[in-house]
Amino acid sequence: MRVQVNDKHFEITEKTNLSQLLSAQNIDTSAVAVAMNGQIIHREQWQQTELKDNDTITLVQAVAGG
Amino acid sequence: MLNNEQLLRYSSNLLMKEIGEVGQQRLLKSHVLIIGLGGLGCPASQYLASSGVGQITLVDHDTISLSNLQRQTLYSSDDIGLSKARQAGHSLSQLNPDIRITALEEQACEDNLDALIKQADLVLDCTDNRETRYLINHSCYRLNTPLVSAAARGFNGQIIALNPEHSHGCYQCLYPDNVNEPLNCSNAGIAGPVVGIMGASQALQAINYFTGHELNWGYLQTFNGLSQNWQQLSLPRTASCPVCGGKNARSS
Repeated sequence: MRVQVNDKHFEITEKTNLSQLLSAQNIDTSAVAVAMNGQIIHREQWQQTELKDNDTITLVQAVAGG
Repeated sequence: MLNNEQLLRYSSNLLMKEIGEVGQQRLLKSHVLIIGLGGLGCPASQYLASSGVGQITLVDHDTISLSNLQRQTLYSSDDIGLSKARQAGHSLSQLNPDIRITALEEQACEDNLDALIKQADLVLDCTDNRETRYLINHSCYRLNTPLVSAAARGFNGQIIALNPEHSHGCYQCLYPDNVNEPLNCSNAGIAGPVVGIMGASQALQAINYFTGHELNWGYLQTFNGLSQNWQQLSLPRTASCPVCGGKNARSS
């Protein structure tokens, strides 16, 4: 099945959860907010959030400047 | 009742049904606290002062440096080395002598935030660091005061309006780790107009709030200055959040 992470499409296997997707992409999650289909998913829920076909994942880099 | 000068000064507000005389009266009775007078705080305070927000408190401990002038629109080359808060207060009083401006040359910290926030109807977080952002968020939740927090780096901007009376998440839920970003304004650069757009957006949200329009509470809005795209992401509350979750939750 296919999921979208920011602007890129990825082919992933069934029963992949959000946590596995992020580590497979080597994403440093220490300063990132992660949203699925427009809703931010808290870290404690990443493992139990299973991805479905056509899910859209948005990674937002923490920004604090002003 | 608005006086003759106010009728002229605020005529463009008065002509709109979204603000009108009732809205203008509300603006004049409102008190906004602006923490940080850099690239966000300059445009935010300029628009709020010119729009006639009756009381504006400005907080910044920093002084103006040459590299600030690329984006910090209240200052000029003659102001280098002067206090940002004092200089901003001076410029804004000239822009609109009809309102009360209090400029505080101090750093927002644990010791003074509660007292500052207690007096305000709305807080704008225009700071440049994570530590102060967490403190402001925590204090606003403790005192039940709404907060519009914005930030920018490079060509990217972010803004979120938080209302402790609503059930969405808070700034701590958004970025739970107190880690410093590898990149900030000083080493990653920042596009002047991008941070200006975010500051203007904070001012607009403040005007909307004061004039009785509902804000999009609890939605992180991100702006990409290259594609000019805005994106909106909802932020649910983290049940275990030490600021807004569990027994600290004001609403369900």
